[in-house]
Amino acid sequence: MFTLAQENKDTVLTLLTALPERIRTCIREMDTDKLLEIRMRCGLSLCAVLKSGGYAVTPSGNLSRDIKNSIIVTDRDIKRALELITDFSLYAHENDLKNGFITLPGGHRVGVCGEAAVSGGKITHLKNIQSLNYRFAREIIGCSDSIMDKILINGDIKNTLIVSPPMCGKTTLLRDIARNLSLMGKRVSIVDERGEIAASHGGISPFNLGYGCDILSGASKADGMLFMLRSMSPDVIITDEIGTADDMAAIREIKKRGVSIITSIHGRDIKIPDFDTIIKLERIGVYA
Amino acid sequence: MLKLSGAVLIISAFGLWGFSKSEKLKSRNDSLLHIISALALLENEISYAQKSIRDALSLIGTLSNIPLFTAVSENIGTSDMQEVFSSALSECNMNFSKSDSQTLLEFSQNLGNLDRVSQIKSILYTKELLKMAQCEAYEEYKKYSRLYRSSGILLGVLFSLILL
Repeated sequence: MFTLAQENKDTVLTLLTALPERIRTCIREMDTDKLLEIRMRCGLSLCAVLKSGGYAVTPSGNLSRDIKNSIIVTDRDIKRALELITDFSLYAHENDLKNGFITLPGGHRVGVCGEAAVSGGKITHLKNIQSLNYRFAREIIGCSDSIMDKILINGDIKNTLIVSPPMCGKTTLLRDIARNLSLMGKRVSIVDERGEIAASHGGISPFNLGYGCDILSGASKADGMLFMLRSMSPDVIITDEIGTADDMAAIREIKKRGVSIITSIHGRDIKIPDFDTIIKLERIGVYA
Repeated sequence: MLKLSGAVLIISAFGLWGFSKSEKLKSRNDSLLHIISALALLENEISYAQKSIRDALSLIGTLSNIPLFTAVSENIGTSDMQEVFSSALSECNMNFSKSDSQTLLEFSQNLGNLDRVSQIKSILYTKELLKMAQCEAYEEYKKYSRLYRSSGILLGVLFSLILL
């Protein structure tokens, strides 16, 4: 039985406070439980994304596929939103902007998009930001209960790979697995490169992760996994969306040390995720 | 006896006026010195600690005991940053000249809206402008503070003599 965490309502409020005032007023009128995303694109209609797709939002908070009476997002709205998202401190979020998103208190994520300044083939910073995507983070306590007997067998944590398309709850499931394992007395290390699993803000996670989780935020997955292996002596390392050669090398090292790994990968079907990744994972015995 | 006490009152009033004018000059110089050192702290908080502007200003307000920064940190987000600075400047009487206030308002215009390198450059530029203003304020203080104090008393004496 899944239960939406009691705190979810409060964390939704923390996302609303990061919206420009006039947009916040409209969103408040809506049923935020069904909202997945709020998209602001300069010069275009304010868009609310539900499971059934995107809708234009009217000033009274109604959803419509007709954009006639919808709220048009202005340059000023984007500027104000950026001020609120960064707490009036753009300089403190330079790296986040370079990576394309900022994590808000409560674990919500705001994707940003504009003109990329590139140097040496890499994005150095983002300018003229024109689009923002507010993604609601939701904690579903108990969503992993039915699979825990497949992950924890006779006290051993099995290496586990979760394959799923985007927006289907990989991170929510990983978070709940972490909570369950932590409450079973396991030493859980979470490597949270993009601040999605634990969504720590000021070093504190807003989610219920039990009492046995150590969280490393911000570090790359490969570096972070090896860091946690050295520093926290975990029973299991949990991380999200692996895929690079460095990730594979780090997982190989973790396997050598007898530590379990639980992670996720994008894919529509268990046979369809990035084939090379699966082959590599099969070789080191993670994909089962 | 009545005339004598009247004269004393007049001399004291003019004396006080002179002393307060002199004190204002000293206070402007001191305020500028405080703001300059607070900006150096802000530079560190931004470049090394990467604190948010709210936390950085609140910390600096406490450390350097400058109510201006505390007032700004408490009101960030209520309106435009320049407006927040402007109302904090009028709230906290720091005896700044118009040009000092203008420098701070221009600085506030970009506060928090720039990347780290540009933000540091903006702080350094403001510090240079305030240093120049402080040199000028110090010269003014040295030049005029004694003049204000003595001329206050002398004017008091003069008025008393005329009235007597």
